[in-house]
Amino acid sequence: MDVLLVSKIKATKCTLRDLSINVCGELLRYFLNMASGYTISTTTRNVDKLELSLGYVISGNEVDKAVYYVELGKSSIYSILTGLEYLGTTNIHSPLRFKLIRVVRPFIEVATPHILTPAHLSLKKVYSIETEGEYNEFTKYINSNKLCCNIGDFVKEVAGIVRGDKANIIDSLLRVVALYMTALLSGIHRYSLALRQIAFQSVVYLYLNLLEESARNKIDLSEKQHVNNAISTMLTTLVTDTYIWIPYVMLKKVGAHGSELIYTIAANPLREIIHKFKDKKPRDVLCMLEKFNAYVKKEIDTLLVKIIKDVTNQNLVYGSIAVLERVVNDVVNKIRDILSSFYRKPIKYESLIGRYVHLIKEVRCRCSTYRLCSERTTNDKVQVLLTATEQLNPLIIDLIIRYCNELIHEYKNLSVLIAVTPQTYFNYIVTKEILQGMCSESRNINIQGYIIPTTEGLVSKIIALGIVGNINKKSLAIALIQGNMIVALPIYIELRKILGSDISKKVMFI
Amino acid sequence: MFRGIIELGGVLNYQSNKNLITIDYVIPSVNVFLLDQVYTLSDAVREYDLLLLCRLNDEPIIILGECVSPDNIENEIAKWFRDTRVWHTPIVWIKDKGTQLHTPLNLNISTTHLRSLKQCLDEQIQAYSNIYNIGIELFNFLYYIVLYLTPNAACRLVDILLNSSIEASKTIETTNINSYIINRKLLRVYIEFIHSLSEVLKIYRKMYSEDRYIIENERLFKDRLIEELNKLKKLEKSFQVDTNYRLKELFDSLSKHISNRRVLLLIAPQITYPLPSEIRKSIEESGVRIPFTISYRLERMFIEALIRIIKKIKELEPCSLKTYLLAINWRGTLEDLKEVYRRSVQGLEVISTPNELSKLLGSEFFDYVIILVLQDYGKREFINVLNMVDSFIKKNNKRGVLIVLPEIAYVPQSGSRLVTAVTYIRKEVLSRLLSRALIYEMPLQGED
Repeated sequence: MDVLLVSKIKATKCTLRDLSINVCGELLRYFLNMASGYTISTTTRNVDKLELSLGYVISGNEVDKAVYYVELGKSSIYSILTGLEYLGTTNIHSPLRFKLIRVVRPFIEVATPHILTPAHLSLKKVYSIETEGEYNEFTKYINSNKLCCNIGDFVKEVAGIVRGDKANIIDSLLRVVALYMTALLSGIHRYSLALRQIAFQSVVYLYLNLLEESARNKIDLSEKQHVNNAISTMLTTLVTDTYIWIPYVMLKKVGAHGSELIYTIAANPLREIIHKFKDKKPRDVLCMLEKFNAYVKKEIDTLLVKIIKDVTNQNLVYGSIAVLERVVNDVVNKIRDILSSFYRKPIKYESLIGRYVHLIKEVRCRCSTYRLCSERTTNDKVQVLLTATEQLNPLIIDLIIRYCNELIHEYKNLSVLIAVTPQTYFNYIVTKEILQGMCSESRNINIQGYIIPTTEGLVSKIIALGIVGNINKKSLAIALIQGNMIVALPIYIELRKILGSDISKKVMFI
Repeated sequence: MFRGIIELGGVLNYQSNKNLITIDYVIPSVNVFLLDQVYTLSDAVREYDLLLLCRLNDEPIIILGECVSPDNIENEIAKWFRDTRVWHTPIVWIKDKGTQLHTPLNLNISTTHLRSLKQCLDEQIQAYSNIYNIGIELFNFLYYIVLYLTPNAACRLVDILLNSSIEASKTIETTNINSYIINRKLLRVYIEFIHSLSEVLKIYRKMYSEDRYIIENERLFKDRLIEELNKLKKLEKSFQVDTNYRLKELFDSLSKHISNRRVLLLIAPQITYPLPSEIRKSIEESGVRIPFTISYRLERMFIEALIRIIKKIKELEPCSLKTYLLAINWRGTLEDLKEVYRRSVQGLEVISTPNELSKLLGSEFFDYVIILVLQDYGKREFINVLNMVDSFIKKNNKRGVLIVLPEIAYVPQSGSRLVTAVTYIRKEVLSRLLSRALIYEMPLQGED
């Protein structure tokens, strides 16, 4: 076996009763946008069918990422995907790393000019192609393990769950899927690991929102097969990629060249298992990927059923921190169990969402302090301040929103002030885009960014002064300070001046 | 025929001649750094000699420029290959007649068509060099946004950069900023310059948002363009004074506090985890000897830089100097890190818990406390230390300073390439990194 496909993304134009969305075109547009680090945007109105299978192939003496593109009708996706392949192999702005393989039907003879040119080029540069028959063999694993995200059906089921602005929620859903594809196809650079974290946590955020929305509307989410399948596939493949492919490549690359990744804290759990890949041949790794992925899928399917049951049966307040904590803890514990069982070694930390568990604990702890130390606030305007890191994603803001919902009643406007560094512009844009669609219309959430440098103390200091100058002591619900010291310290020191003794109640560090 | 008209005095020259490219403004030596490589960044991914803000028959456009050096054609050709790895706005190659650079995609013009460009470029290099003395990172980011991102994403980010600069300029007037580094007026002009340049680049890159630049009236648009360019040129002139960081004044101030005093130096270094033994073994099996316990960067660069800083403090002749490593809650593999510091820095003692720090502050007498952060540290632990030291200083009516050195600094350099990135190289730490450090004098304002 030289090929292992682990996830299939299928999309078609989807028409709902009151809304027609080109699911396929929009998904591709967002994917192109994110995968290029927001360097490309294009309209994809004419793209109405898409089938991509993502996975791994043996290339030389390595296991590489691959995307199989299935030609469906006369769409122009191929040229766009060729552009993405350029991003994956050559362009240094993009985090992508993959090989593009085109699944073709046999031609008797190429005789049309617009086909002739690509045909010539395909032979000249020997682009990779695969026949439908072979491709169908490769996708047997996907089919038998239910690893297909049928985005059109996913969207239809979601539209049946939500009662609010369907178009906005579907827009966010497509962005989450595009983010997942970007993360799964990225390399092993430090930021690629961060991308996997934000994608994983964004999928959990999407699921959590669907879970609560279905419970509120008394809809049984466990019956929504396409929703569960898509969520489970995305979570599974990100776990597999993070805990098999990354440590394998890390060992190869670090051994050969050294790498900044080895000094990344988020990579700590991977360092614990990296030696398991010593002397592993590419085929051994592909076998590990195959076994592990199937195992994770089965476990996550079971977990999702359990989560639905628990959340609906335990009288938890929807929109509360308790629901979020329950879901996140279940997911983290499951990953830990899977890893311990597969590697026969307990894993101390978890890379994809483990840090978030600490964040919840901190916020929970802060809730009780807040309750003890201050009167319950009723404010029209509530402010939240965050310093962005490369892990910033909608789930983090969601926790802060839940915190405000629990402690501050009847507020009308929530302003989220984010200190964005040049390294976190991607996180800021993605988070804002996904949140805008998912947040309830009943409360106005305004996200305002500020650019702050990470290497210049004096400039950081005056920008921090400007940011904190917008904070009202009474309106501030919480400030979450994390990341680089040149950013974090001036904000803390300026907050100290305006908050006085409230600093310990309202400011937290991660 | 291509004709270049340089109008850098601020008044635009509207010509009726069609196919005329008017160059309105030149930004010299545009260095673009990859944003996702902050930890290991050592070089710009690409340096373009100039960014030309032009109008093609009055429509704003931006063009990158490369002045071809006839003496180093190999290097110029290498740039062509490097350019295949990024996408950007068109590059015009400016070369003397007879320069042997013949490659495809040749959008090039002869320097004879741009007679005044050379002089103008020299002036701009001087002006921007002075501006960059104050700070570069936001410019790097602005260039990255403008050259590479989609108009939509670029517009959103430039808008928040504009917002940040507006808020910052409000506070410069009203807040006490550490004064000995650079004067307040110049800092205000610097922020205004970033703001103004962002506005100008927004127009030339055609980023329109929130109805701010709806070009319903062409005349109004031209007026706005002229207004913004004039403002930019006016601000540029403010930087003709010395904009260097007054490090001498910083050392004078330190000397005043340190000389003949009892000084406590607390060091909070970047936490770097040792290589896992399996990886170490694997690397060594491939024939590469690793002489470092933790890493080359830590043991060769950071520690040598730290030794240099301690030496500098000693030169300021304190009555006594006690140096402590803040190894608070360092457990497990971080014990190795502690050992590396202890072994490498003479006279270094270790504080492992907040209690130990508390005891130290309570039992010994210090006149001046220096907290030195190298790159990054655990926020919670550090804030605790900062608050303890600040309380001690306030309670005992003493003084101190907090210095946070960045991971990397972007600094101006001489020559036509204006910017370089430096990190913890021995002599650079005092001359370059310190000029980009975050410095707070203690006691801090606000609560204990």
